[in-house]
Parts: sequence; C-alpha cells; structure tokens
Amino acid sequence: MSDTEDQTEELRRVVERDRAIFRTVIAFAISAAVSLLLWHHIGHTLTGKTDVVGYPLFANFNVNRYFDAFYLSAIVGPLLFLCTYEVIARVGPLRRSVGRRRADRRELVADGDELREPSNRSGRVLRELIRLLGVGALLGVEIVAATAITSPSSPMSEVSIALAYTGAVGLIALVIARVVTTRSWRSVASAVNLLGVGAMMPLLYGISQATSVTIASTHQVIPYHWMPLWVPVAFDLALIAYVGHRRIRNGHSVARIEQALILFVAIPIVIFTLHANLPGALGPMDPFGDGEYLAAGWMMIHGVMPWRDLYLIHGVFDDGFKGLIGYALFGPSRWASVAGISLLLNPIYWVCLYYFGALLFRRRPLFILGLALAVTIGVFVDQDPRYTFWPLVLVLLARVLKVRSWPRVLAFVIALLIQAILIPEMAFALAACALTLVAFEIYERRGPRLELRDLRTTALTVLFGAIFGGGFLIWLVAEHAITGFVGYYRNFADAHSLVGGIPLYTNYAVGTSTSALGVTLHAVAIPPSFTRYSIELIVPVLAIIATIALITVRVRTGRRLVILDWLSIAAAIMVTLYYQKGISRGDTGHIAEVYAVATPLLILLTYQLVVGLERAPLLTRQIARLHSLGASARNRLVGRAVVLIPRSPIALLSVIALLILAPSTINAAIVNVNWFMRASAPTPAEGGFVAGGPTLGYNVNAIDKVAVSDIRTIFDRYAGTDGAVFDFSNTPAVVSYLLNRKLASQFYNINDVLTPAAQATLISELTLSKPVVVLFNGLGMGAWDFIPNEIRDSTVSDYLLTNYHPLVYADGQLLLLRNGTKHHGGLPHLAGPTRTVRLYSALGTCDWGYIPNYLQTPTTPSIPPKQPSLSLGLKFIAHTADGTIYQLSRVTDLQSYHWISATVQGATGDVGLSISSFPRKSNRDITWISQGSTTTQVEVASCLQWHGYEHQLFLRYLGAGHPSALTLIG
Amino acid sequence: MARLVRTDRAIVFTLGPIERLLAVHFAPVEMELSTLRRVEVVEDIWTKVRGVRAPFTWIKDHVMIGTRRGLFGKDFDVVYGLGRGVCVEFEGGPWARFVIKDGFPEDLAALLRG
Repeated sequence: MSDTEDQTEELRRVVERDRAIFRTVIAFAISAAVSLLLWHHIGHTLTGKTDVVGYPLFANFNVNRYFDAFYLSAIVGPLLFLCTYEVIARVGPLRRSVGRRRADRRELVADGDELREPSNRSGRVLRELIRLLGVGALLGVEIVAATAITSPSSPMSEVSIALAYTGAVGLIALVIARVVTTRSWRSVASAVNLLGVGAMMPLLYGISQATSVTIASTHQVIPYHWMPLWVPVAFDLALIAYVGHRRIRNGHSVARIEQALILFVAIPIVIFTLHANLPGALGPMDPFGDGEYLAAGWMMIHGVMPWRDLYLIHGVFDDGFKGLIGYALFGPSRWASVAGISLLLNPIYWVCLYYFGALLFRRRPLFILGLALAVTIGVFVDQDPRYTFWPLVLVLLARVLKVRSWPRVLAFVIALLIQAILIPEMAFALAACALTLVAFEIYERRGPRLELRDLRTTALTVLFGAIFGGGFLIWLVAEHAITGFVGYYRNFADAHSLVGGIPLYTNYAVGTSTSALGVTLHAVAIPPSFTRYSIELIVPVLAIIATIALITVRVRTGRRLVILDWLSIAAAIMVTLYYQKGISRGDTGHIAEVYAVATPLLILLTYQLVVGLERAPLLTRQIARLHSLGASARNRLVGRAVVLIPRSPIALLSVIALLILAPSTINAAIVNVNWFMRASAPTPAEGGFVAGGPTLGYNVNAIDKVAVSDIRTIFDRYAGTDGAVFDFSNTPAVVSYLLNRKLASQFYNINDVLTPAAQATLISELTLSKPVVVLFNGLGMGAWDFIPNEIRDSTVSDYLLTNYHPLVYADGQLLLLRNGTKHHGGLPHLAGPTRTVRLYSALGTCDWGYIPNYLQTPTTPSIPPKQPSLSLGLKFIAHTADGTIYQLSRVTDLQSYHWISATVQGATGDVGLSISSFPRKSNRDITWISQGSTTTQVEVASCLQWHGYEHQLFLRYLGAGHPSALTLIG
Repeated sequence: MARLVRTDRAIVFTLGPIERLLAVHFAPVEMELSTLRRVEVVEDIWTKVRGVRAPFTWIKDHVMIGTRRGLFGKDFDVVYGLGRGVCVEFEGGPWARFVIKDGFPEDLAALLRG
C-alpha cells in the first residue's frame, strides 16, 4: 500500500470516528428528549378502577409511574438510542462510510484468558508459595474457629498458622524431593498441600463439634453438633477419588489439581465458616414477619401440604423449608429455626454465589480470589436464601451453551423448574433463560438461514420442561393442589404493585405525614448523598443499560458473542423482569432483593470490564515487552523481579482496590471467628405454650407472654384444645406456631389474601370449617401502610363481623366469637387487662382514604342478607372546624346493610366524608375521600364500628360542595 | 371393609382384598401396642388427613385408602365419605398415624385404648 493510500485510509478512519461520535451524541439527545417527553405525560394520580386494595388506592399514589420510569430508562431509552443511531448511520450526512462488520460465527472463541502456568521458574515457585500460604491461612481460620486457640481471636493466629504450615510443607517437600523422589520440589509441595485441603472438611466437622450455647445464669454449655461424622468421611473419600480420577484418567498435573481443590473446596469451606453463625438469645419476635416462616415450616412438618392446605406467598422454600431446616437440626423452637437459617442457609447462599464465579471464571484465579474477598468483606451485603439457586442456574445455562448435550440440558431444566416451583417469584428465570437460549441458537445457527435443527437444544429444553413440568402439574392434580398452585399467580403475582406499592425512599423510621383531609401518608426522605438504598435502586438499571451497551458494541465491532455475553443477557433479562417487583414495593428490603438478584449480572459485567481492560492492546504490548526485557536482563535479580509482573495486572489492581475500598476488612471478617459457633444466652431455653407445640427457645422478651397465654385460654375455652380458630390479625407466630392451632383455612395469615377471588375462597373455607373463635386484631400486623385488614380484606371482614360478635378485648387483642356459640360458663379468667364493653369502638377510625374512588364495587353485594336499597334523608346540623354535620334519617335495622353510597355535588376538589354515630369527629368514624362531584360506595359493614352503631347516624362533610344523596345498600 | 382392631400385642388395620388393591399396599398394616401414644375421636375425620399420597386411592372428600407421607413420617388412612372417625397416633415404628372413619368412633376408640 502506498503512502497516499495509507493517508487516505487514515483520513477515512478519522472521519468515520468523528461521525460515530456525532451519531452517538445525536442519538442520545433524541432518545433522552423523547423519553423525557413521554415521562412528562405520565400522570401523578391513579386512573381507572381495580379490585385490590393497597396504599396506591388509599393515598391516590400512582405507583405505575415507577414502572414507566423504569421502562423508559432501561428499555425504551436504550432501544430508542440504538434505533436512532442505526437510522442516522444509514441515511443522511452522518451515514456510515465503512461496511458493517459481521462477527465470524464459525470459529470457536474462548471466553477469557487461558490459565497459563508461568513460563519462568521464579514465577512458578512464587505461585506455589502463594498456594501454600493461602491454604495455610484458610486452615488457620478453620483451626481457630474449631478450637478457639486464642481469645479473642486476632489475625495473628491465622498468620502464624499460615507461616508455620508453609514452612512445614515446604520443608517436607524439600526432604521428599531430595531423598525419596526425583520429582521437583514444587510438585511434591503441591501434593502435600492437597492433604492440607483434605483437612478442611474434618476441621469444619470440628467446628460443628465445638458449636454450643452457654447459659450465663447456670454456666451450662449445651452442644449443638450439626454435622454428622459421615459427612467429612464421605467428603474426603470423594476427594481422594476425584484426585485419582483427574491424575490417572485425565493426566492432570498435581499443581492443576491443587489449584482446583483450593478454588472449589478450601475457599468455599472458609466462606461458609465466616458466614455461619449460631445465634444467642433472640430478641423481640415479629408475630407476622417471623411467623410466616416459623408457622409454615412447623405446619409442613406436621403434614400440611403447600398449595393444597397452605398458601405460601413467598413459596415453599422461603416460607416453608427455610424455617423447618432449623427444626430438623436443633429442635422445635424459634431459636432453632433462626439458627438453621443463620448457620446453614445464609452461608450456603454466599458459597453458591462464590461458586458462580469460580465455575465461570476458572481461567482467572485472581478474579476468583477477588470474588471470594468480595463476598467475605462486605461488598455484597444483601443476601436472601431464596436467591441461592439463581447463580447455579446460570452456571448450568453456561454449561448448556458450551456443550449442547442432553444431560446438560436435563440438569439445567430440572434446576430451573425446581427453582420456579419452590420460589415462585423466580419463575421470571424461566422467561429469561428461554429467551436467551432461543436467541443463542438463532445466533449460533450453522448456515446463513435458520433451520429447525438449529433449534435442537431449545426443542430439547421444551421437551424436558414439558415432561417434568407436566409431571409436576399432574402430581398436583392428583393431590388436589393444582388450584392452590395456580391461585398464587392469580392472587399474588397480579396484585403486588397495587397492594404493596409505596413511594420510593419511604422511611418507616421518619414517621408519617397527614394530608389536609386527614389521610395518613408515608414520609419520604431522600437522603442528600448516595446511600446503600440509592445505590441498590440505581445500579441494577445501570447494569441493564451496560449489558445492552456491551452486547451492542460487541456486535457492532464485529466480535463474536461468547458464552459470558449470553449469560449477561440472561441475567439482564432476569433483572429487568425482577426489578419491577422491587419498585412495586420500594422499601429497603425489596430494593435489596432486586440487588441480590442483580448480583450475578454485576459480577459478570465486572469480569467483562476487567478482561476488556487487560486485553487492551497497549497494556498487553507493554507487559509482553517487560517480560521480554526481564528474560534478557543481564542482572539476574532484576530479571527475576521483572518476570514476576503478572499478566493480569488489572485483576491484581482490582483485588488490591477491593481490599482498600471494601466496606469491611479481612481482619473484621475473621476477628471473632472463634465465637461464631459459640453463642450465649442469659437464661435456659423456655418451654412451649401448649403441650406438643413449639417453643421460643433462647430468647429475651421475645413476645408478650401474658397476651399469648390469654389468647390460648380463650381458644381453649371456646374452641377446645383442638378446634379450628381463625387468625384475621396476621399473627401466625402465635396462632399457628406457638399455640399450634389447627388451620381453619389454607390462608394462615390474612396478608396473603389480596384479591376478591382469594377472599371468596377464604370465605368458602371458613363456611366449611366454622372456626368458633377469631383473633380479629392484636399482636400481629392489624394494618399495614395505614390500611387495616378490615379494609384490605373488606369482604372477609364483612363476613366475620356479620357472623361473629366481639367477645373480649384482652391485652390489646380483640377476639370474636361465632354467633350462636354456647358460652361454656362465660369468659375465663385472664391474666392481662381485659375489656368486654365498648368493643365496637376498640379499633379506632375506619379510614378508607381514596380507596372508594378506585375500587370496583360489586353490582350485587354478595353478603346475605340482601336488603333493598334505602335512601337516607340529610338534615343540616352545624358547621364545625372538622366539617359540616348532617343528621341522617333513622334506620331500624342498620346492620342488615353492608354498603353505603354517597353522592357529592358542587365540589371540584377532594372532599372528606365521615359516617358516625356521634355528631362530631371521633374514633368511631368511618371516613373516606370523594374526588369531586361523584358517587362513591363504601363497604361499611367491614368496619367494626358499623356493627356497634344504633339507629341514628351523622355525616360529617369536609370541603366544597355538598352531599346530595346517601343510600344504604344491603 | 377395613377395620381397626386391637390384638394382645398390636393395633392392626385389616383390609379387604379390593381395599388392599386400592391402597396399593399388600403387607400387613399394624403397630405394636408399646408404640401407641393417643387415640382420638374426631368429628371431621378429613381434618386428620395430612401429607401427600404415596400411593393410594383418593378422591377428595369421598374416598381415601392407603399411605400418606410427609416430613412427619407416614400415615395409613381409610376414609369413606364425610363424617366422624378415629385417629390413632404412634410414637416410633413405621406408621405415625392410623386414621379411619367409623360410625361409632367412641366405641372404637375405647376398644383401641383397651
């Protein structure tokens, strides 16, 4: 090529680069402008009607804005950018002047750098020394944890053990290499080091043997050996078989096997040890939140089958197995259940996350080391056992994409299905993986045109999915459980945002605010700087955009998509789908859940970034140059030093940066490792409230024991010791767990009943089981987001209050008794304060907020007895600061009406309406807001006070306009 | 027709040939008296049905003959239609419970208690 042609080519390249920059800027500006324009057209208030109740309806808060914002920023905006860019690149003055670069899909492309043994002796010796020190340090952690050789632990113990181990192994290897065998010192050291790795599981068994709770008051030490002896024995036998297999059959070097065992055995065991924790005495118990898994696990142990007998909103794993693992290990107590989670499930989560990286990035041990540090020193802090399987499913997907054989597809499908069945919210992964697999097979087609045989793996996946998924569904049908399984998706998945939606940055600790019309609102506190919440809210969106950018750049620059790219796509689709769950209830916990699901994607992107930087030509050239200089250096020492410069400097720098910048330190992670399994409690574990029932275990003021005893006394008196009772107060920890009561319905907490269909199911079950006593309100979650259960599940509340009457208000618990039940000698003696009068005003104002404006009302209310509608006359009484008071015409049989319809005229804004038996503001009010001149209907019979009203009612009207009609509906 | 009887050493479920076929269970169904924990008269016998079928014939609220399994172990149930019955609980041994519908559960319970 001549100089002129060179210059022309160079000029063309510069012009094309400048054009690409302009195209990018213009495409970004257009996509941002269109997105902003669309955003400004999204309303702040709700529109339309729905059949579920939640804070969005209560406060007239449009939670759908969050979804729209997410769609615009993570999907519409990036796609608009790409489309605009593509159009500009094809037509107009900025069109592309070079041909499109297409990836050559015929050649196999490696995912990352190959694992390379150092080519020089110094590097190999250094690597072996690092391995010895590493295993020594890991053994040190295990030894300290098992034996508590120092108290309190200091990192010097681990360091001393590491140095001693390295010295000992080095010396033994030296002797063997010189005296016994002709093999090199490194090879012998690797072999001896394998024995060190083999000692890790027996040491974990030692930790199990040392696990105990010390009772401070009696100095008694109670052992909790959670690992049976056969586990380390079987594990080490398997290890020996593995080493033999790799060495003899595959001919792998000892050093390679050593590295594999360090990465896949030694490090995971230490990660487990550092995250496992035996709790001491537990503090206050959340009767609802803790009760969800305590009660479900307890009932499952006793034969209650999920889907058929038990509705589990978080799935069989999170609500059921999570709780019962502890029962199986440590006995039937709350402490045992929590211990099972903190000692087994939480560490297993971290180990699985580590395995995700270790299996995918095995060619880059330095990156794996970084991941191990990241999960140990607090880089990833959000954990939830329900996401344990997701990283492993991605690994199985990677294996399928790598080699599309039927056993791999089978393993992948089974894992995917098990995850979706046990944790229904992870069913999103089905879509994420399916879309990725289909796209992968289309991309990897053999010829230029797509043929059916190109989709072989997809077809195999569908086939296995149909066999196993279909088999599971048939089994559910045979168990009469299919309705419950499908019901979850109809009840919970549909209604999550409108039931649970709250403003982002809601801070429960800040308190509440009240609107001009008296509606209680969540206080929103946006912090002045980036907080963990902000990061977890934004980073998943950035990760989705980064994935789109990464794939686009790869495709546009003619690079072939490799397996890690496809995994990133699957993980990004999953985050895209799951993110909506987070913002549909944007409190700290739910945003953290999204972040946990996004963690594999973040790891993949970080890896891609590190590898991308290390593959930069400038860096690779300089490192190669340094190594070449080192090899030819005259000074031997300088030469050795230079060749030790790693070929993965960015990964090394990343690990160093991680150590410096991580929220925690290695020292903090291991400083108390000898106490992780040695807990203490001030007093011995407590007994249960009922014979054969579970206990609280070790605790300090876990719950109001007097209240629980009083509830038990009332249950026993009226329902017998074994009769069914119903909990309307979201107190599963007491009713279904501590008191071990039989379920009156598959809904063991009312919080799970979200839709009219679920309410109808519950009522039909209550009609059949006829529980004598109902715990209507009390210790549990009687209201959330300021909406009491009476309003959230108004139809059920209406049914209960129509068929039951208040019995007693004891220790803050309101209990109802079925109408017509014999009193068996009256109320039993209760230990706590009780009240049997003014029970209908026990729960305070029944505040519907804006709900009646958005809630679909049944055309024919279903609760009998049906009455013809009754129009009420309005008589002006007085103007007060709290509104205008009207007296309504007297009604003789008020409780036979269930709904009230109110029409407002002459109002342009919101007006407040209150019905009460008092002509003034009081806690007997049933209140709601009407949006302007319209008619609203309220199911007043779901409010407790309605059943206490007598013949005379008053309406309090606050705002412009006037009430024109009030009608009672039966 | 299935019956629950007490011998001098065990509580025994006696099943007819068709019932054994429906239950897919042909071995003797019995528990030693030493394992007997509780005999309970139940108003709605279906409330004592727990776990999953493994295997047996079951039409919900109509008929159920055979083994049910769960984390509790396994039960042997024979229930025809709705109504009262007897639930016998054991501690140790292969079965956790025997559940049977019976027209005169008090009498049966007394018999089983010995």
